[in-house]
Amino acid sequence: MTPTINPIKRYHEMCRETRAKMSDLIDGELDPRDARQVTRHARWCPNCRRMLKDLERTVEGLQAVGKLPTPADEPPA
Amino acid sequence: MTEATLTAPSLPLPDTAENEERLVSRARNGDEAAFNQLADRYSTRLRRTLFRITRDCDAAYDAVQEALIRAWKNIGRFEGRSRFYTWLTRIGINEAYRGLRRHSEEPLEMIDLVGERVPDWGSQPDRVFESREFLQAVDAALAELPLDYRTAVTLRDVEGLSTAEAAEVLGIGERALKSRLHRGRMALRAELDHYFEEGYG
Repeated sequence: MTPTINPIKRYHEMCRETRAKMSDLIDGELDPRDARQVTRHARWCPNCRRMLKDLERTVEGLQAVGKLPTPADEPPA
Repeated sequence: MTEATLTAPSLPLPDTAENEERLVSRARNGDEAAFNQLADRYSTRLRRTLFRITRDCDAAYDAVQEALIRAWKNIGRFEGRSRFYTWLTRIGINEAYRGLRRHSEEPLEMIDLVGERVPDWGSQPDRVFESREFLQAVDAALAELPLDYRTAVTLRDVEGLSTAEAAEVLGIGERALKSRLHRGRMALRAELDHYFEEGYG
């Protein structure tokens, strides 16, 4: 019997692999081959594209949070 | 701290004029004034970092004080292979962790939504992401992350340390740091979906 490849399962596996690499892509810490693979998949997969964009927004938000004051900014009295 | 040891007459150079390496080297030789200059340079930044991790002003103040005492006592062991701030932060985080319970912590689930529809934030105008309200939502979500993940995200994203520096501060490998960082970011992203679902003002 020839093994059948479930296309949905395969598609989801690609999404899972792509999403696992998104932080490294955002941080510029992915090797060029993987980076190309992730961006190529995200180009045609709307859910991965949204995930990548949302994750970028999250990281940018965190970076901006670093510029906000905190209650601990002043030295203790 | 022990009594100050006076070394060769050192002109009171402004903070920025004297480089860190020289201050560290003087402090290693017992120059308390040099150590105090380093402490002044970094204590506010460390306090902010520790506040973001503990979410408790008093705990952050105490941990910084303890860290400075410990750093002064152990400055002889600082070999200068990392930046002074990285070394000090590592001590500070160890102090801060003392007061926080963490033994029961479970690994954070990877919230990657594979097979589900990922909500679209892309249609929101740019100014939403720059608004104080959004940033407060990000900060509030960060405060709720499990400790190890909150610390990794705080060091890397909020404080802007490199992957290597953040891993060194935590005494873990870069792979482990990246794994915590990614899971933490993904959990924050998922939490922020609620923010957009509920409407933002």
